[in-house]
Amino acid sequence: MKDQEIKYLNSLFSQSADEQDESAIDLPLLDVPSDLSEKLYAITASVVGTTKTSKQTRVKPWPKFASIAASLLMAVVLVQGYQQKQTLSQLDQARTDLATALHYLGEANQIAHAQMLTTLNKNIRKATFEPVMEIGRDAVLPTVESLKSVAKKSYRTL
Amino acid sequence: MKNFKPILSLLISISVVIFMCTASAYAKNGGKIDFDDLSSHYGEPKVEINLSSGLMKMVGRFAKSEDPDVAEILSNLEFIKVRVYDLKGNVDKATATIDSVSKKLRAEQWETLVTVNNNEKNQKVRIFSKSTNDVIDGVVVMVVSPQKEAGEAVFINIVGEIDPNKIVKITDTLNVDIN
Repeated sequence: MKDQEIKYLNSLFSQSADEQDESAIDLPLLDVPSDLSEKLYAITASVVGTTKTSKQTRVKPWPKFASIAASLLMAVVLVQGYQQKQTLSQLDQARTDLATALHYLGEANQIAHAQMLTTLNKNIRKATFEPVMEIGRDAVLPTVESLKSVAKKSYRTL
Repeated sequence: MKNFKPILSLLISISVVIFMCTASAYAKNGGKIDFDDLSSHYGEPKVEINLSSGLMKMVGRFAKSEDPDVAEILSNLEFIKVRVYDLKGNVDKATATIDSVSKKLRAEQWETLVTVNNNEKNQKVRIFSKSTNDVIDGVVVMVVSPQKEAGEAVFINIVGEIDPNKIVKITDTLNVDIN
């Protein structure tokens, strides 16, 4: 059977190109071996089968795309949530840092303020109270001294 | 020659814009200084803060709804650096640092705002500011206070415009418990 098939195929392909052109005009009819025709039909049947499957695969990508899109969307939402969380924690940290910095700045300000007040008070006391006290002392001392001398004198008389 | 004139004028205008940009950047960063690192003497700082303008603007944006004034104050700040060291009973190095930094700042035309030398309490406070065209570029605050625990040295550098009277307002708005 195989020899028949080979002979048929040889006779078909052994003709030259010119002859083929001629044969195209006047195509010779040859008897096709039954096995070969069966095989050929089997090929066409299988081709039809594959076209069906290819149609099925063409339909399949849509759910796949949808699932990819959904997962991408979920990833984007998750990343956004994570970024938002990070920004909020950064913001919290920045607020705490800023408050700490300002707290120390306020403390320095307070120390400076207190020291300035102390210095001012000291100087004001020096400039006003002490001279007044001195004036008072100067005024009172002679009287005290005179009283002392009077007392001494009276003691002597006694 | 006719084609050369517009190109020349374009080049001049571009260079003027670049010069203005660099000049303003210099004015903004003119208030930034480096403190001596005292970690070799006192160990790692107790408090170490570096706040960039971006972070402060972000805080300002969030605070805008509560207090627009605070948002405005924060938008004028470029940078805040804070270092706080535990002195562990030894104030000498911190005091020497305050003296050396003060000397450097005076040489760089910084203005002395406050000088406190409390010999009884061994306390030192220095506050400096630097300004360009009536705009404050920066403030430097240095404090050594031996009374607090085993002594504390505070070094603060603020780049940007800040009014000390508004500090309390910002702290209140931030509503953060520091202790």
